[in-house]
Amino acid sequence: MSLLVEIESLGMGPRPLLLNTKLSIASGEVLTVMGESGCGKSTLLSAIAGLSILHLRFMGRVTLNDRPLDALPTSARRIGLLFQDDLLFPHMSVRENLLFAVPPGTKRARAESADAALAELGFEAMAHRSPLTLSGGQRARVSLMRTLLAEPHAVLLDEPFSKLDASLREHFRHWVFERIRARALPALLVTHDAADAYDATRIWRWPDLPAMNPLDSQPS
Amino acid sequence: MTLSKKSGRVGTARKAALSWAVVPIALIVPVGGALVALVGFALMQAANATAWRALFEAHWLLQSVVMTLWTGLAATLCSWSVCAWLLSRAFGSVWWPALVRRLGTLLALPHAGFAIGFVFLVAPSGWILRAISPWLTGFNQPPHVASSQDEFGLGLIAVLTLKEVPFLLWCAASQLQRDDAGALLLKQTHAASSLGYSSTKSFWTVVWPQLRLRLRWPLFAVLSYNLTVVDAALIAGPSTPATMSVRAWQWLQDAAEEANAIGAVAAWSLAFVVALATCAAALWLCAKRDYAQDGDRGSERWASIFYSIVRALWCFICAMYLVVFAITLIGSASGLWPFPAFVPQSLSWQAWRSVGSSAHTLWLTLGLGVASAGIALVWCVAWLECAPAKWDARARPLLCLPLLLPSVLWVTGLHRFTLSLHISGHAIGLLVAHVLVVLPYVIIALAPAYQKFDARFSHISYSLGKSHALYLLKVKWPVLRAALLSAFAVGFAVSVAQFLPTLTIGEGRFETVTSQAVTLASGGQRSLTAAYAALQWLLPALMFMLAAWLGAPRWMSR
Amino acid sequence: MSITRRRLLATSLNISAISLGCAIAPKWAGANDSNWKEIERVARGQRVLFNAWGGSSNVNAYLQWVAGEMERSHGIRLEHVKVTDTVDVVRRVRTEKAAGKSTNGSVDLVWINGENFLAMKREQLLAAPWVDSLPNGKYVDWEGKPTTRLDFAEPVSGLEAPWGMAQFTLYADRVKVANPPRSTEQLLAFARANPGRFSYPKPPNFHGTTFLKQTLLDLLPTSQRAILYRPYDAGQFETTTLALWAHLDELHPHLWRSGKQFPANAGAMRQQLLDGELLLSFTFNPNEVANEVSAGRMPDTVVSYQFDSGTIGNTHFVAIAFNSAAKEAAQVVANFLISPVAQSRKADLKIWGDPSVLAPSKLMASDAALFNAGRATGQVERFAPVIPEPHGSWVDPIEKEWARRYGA
Repeated sequence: MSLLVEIESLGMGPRPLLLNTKLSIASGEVLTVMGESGCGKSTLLSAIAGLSILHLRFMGRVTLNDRPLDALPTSARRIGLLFQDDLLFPHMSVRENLLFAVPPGTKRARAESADAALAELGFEAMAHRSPLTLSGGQRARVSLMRTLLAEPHAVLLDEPFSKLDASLREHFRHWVFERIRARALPALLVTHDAADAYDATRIWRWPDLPAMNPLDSQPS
Repeated sequence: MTLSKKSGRVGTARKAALSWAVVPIALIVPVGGALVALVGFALMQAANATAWRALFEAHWLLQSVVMTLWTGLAATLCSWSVCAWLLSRAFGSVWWPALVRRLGTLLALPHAGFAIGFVFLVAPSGWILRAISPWLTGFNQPPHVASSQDEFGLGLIAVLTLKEVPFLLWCAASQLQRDDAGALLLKQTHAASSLGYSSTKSFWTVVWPQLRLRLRWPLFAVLSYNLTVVDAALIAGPSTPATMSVRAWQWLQDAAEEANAIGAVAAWSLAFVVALATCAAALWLCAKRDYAQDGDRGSERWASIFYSIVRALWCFICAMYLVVFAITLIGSASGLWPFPAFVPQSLSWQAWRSVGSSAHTLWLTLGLGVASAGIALVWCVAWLECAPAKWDARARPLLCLPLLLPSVLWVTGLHRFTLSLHISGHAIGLLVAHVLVVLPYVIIALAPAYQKFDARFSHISYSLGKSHALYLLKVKWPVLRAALLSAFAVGFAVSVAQFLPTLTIGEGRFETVTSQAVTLASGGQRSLTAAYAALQWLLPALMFMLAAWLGAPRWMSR
Repeated sequence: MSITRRRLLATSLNISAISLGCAIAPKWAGANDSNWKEIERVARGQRVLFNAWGGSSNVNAYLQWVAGEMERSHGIRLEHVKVTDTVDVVRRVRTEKAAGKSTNGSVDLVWINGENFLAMKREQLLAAPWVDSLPNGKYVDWEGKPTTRLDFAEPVSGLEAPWGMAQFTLYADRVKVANPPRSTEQLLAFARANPGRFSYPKPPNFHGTTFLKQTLLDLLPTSQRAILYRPYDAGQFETTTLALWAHLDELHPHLWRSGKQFPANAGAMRQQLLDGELLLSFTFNPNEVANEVSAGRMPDTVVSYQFDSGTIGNTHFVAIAFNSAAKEAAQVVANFLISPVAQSRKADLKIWGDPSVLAPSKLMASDAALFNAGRATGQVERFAPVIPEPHGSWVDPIEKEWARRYGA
């Protein structure tokens, strides 16, 4: 399993962010993309996931396990996303949030997967609570578990640790990478904090765009 | 020294607490008092056993109630569904900003004006049939089809649906365009998409369940309006059986006092119907739904087909408004115009000349609209600024009374009330009446943006050593400029559209564009009626445009 | 003091007017000359709120002219309060009375007749009798036009001054209808031959109710008509109206929308005739068609006419509310409204076209000449006899019965 991203140009509105770049990630591998905030890291993830974002321009190719994704909508790409915010749905309980991610199947099989995920989290007691009553760390875990329950073929992580406090952060980082590795998924992590990098050898620094007017390249 | 300092601080704290309570009390007492008083006056009229007996013995009662429920519920359900469908495809898409921009223009047109144009479009001698006659239909005379004021109330349902969809969309937009809520919901749909859910399915499982609850007040307002509307029902609704509101209004119009009493109790029974329907709607909204049950992801192909359907629906709605507006303008300049001519045989400026000769009508409409919307806006800002959230939540049903009560009912109560204050028939009474109707709309328009304003801005502002007043003037209000202006425009449009309060509390002494349009509609001069109907549209539309222009963000967002 | 004297005087004169007719009018007008001068003096500077239907731009323009004249000649500020329905005015005055507002009311002068007058008279919402003191009363055709004394068979009692005449008049486009029906029976045959092309406004709309009364009177043998001119008698209602309901049962299936729906008012019917939905319509103003034709709002092929055997006619009046603060100025305005100058201008088709209440024989030659305008296109060619309105108290039971039978 592998994720291949070939970028001819990536931009937001009239502003180009990245030109002629190729990123390749093997299964079980985590590529860390480092860059200043505002350089366009999140935009890159949106392009790979195929999110419909206003003014997003992307020329290039995304291939997952030799399957071209460019013509597919987000829902068909099988790319899991983990954001800065946990984005748990406030109108569903913790268990419903997990169940929501389980692929279609018999009612029983789906319930079993959701309950297994709850057990893995150790959150059985909170199953029917509103996600809003959970702590930040707990929500982050449910969120990752939800992403993984949908059985993605690759995972994109958009600074998922940045909102957690330092003590929690380390622990959660290990917890996340452990699960991604166990499932042998290619993963792309964007961050501006070198400490978040999973593997120092797989760090890719966001390039400056030298051809541009220096004023335009100011982070906004 | 320390002690005195301490006690001094306690004193200021108490003073602060006192002044904190004084302002909202000073705000709510006159408004709430007036509303309670007018309901009291209306209640006094309900205590009439003879009238109740006469009402229940009326053989048309059941038919009227059925017609009221049918048209009111069907129109509400249609506009609610269409609004949801449009949102499901428009929210987060490139199409969304364009849709939101257009809403003001669509909202601006009062129901009566729209109904006048709509009826001329669909009537047996209407524009649609003229366009295809006689070459396609062979009709040289209008056919015998009951396409306007039909006995099933379909025309009324169509008018109400077409009018309420933009209102609901606009309420939804004011929720979704708040940076926090809108962005969060958008991210949540992205999360759902990444879990494999199609774009429509993501909307229905993630966005709509959260949004629908936030749209409960607009929904109740639409429901109540649809069940109690008088002017549009008179123009586009069936005359036999007429809806309860029209019946009540006709009884209240009667010269005999006994008939007026029946009208008053009919208005009360209509209020009862509205209350029941609102309770049912509330239960329906709050009913628990299971969104995660089967894990079905929905199909993206169906989503794209649905997208085309919904866009076509939106284009249809816009086209209806455009055509209705065109027909109103053409009608206002028409001379002789027999069937099946598509355009008038002769044009005439009589109607517009006549409008020009009564410019005071225009000025009064403008003045009343600006004054009532302005007062309501200032009141709402002061209220939202000073009243604790709990107070606001408690007071909201009271403030929204004019929205939730049948207009025939609260207008009679208000008339008795203004009479007791000796301001009925005076400009001040008219202004009070307009402010009371405008207020709930302004607070509904303003509150979401106002309450979700990030309080951290104030902390930053204070930490920079700025006073509260300076924070309001330099930070909060400028940031909320667009919301304030659009709430003002809504208030203005509501004031322009008022007929019953203008006529009743103004005692017929004051003419506005709307009272003129309805008065003239009774005289049947189509060109003059159309001219005032066109003005009914133009005045609020201009105000919305002005608000949009003044409220445009300083920098276009990326 | 002076008010008391005037009221006494007016009451006594009222009695004489009723018993002797109006032959003596000039005499008492002269006797009151100084009194009238006093009224005119008090009236100067007063503001009169004239509550009148505002649905016609012609009427509105005419009243604007009256306002200008009053300002110029008497220093009276006349304001036209445009109302949709006179019932609103009745209700407003009633509410004011209930609220104890006995002075400074919102109505000084009101354009009124029939049911509304009856209601205001019975509930004592009108100012004490004043009409007989109007100097211009001497020109009014009290004898030739009995409806100036009996408003819907109710004695006017000096509470309202006649202003204009109205008579049930039908109209049709002669290009589409060569031989319009000239009686109630012919009308039924016409409806049968042209299904869906005739209707009448839904009672209690004034024109709709008038159509019912016209039909009822036409169907009744002359001997039975007298019943309708006495106050309502519940015992005789059924026998009197039996023929009407039988006739309507026959007529309705052939009406517009099979008689299941009715137009809202006469204005709507006029528009439907112009749109071609209806072939025949009616009005209460014999000059309406001529007016509309001359304004270019109706083709010049539309003709108006009346049933040969006569049609219902009435007079419309102006009355003063009990709580008016400008009773004197209101009387001065009412007096001006029945002057030859004002009446002839009102009768002018180009201005309004409302028939005069004056008797040509009572006018001086120069004044009479004001009325001699030529015939206009669309005008009624041959005026039929006026059938006075039945007593106002019959209206409500007829409307109620109609609503019970057809107004579901």
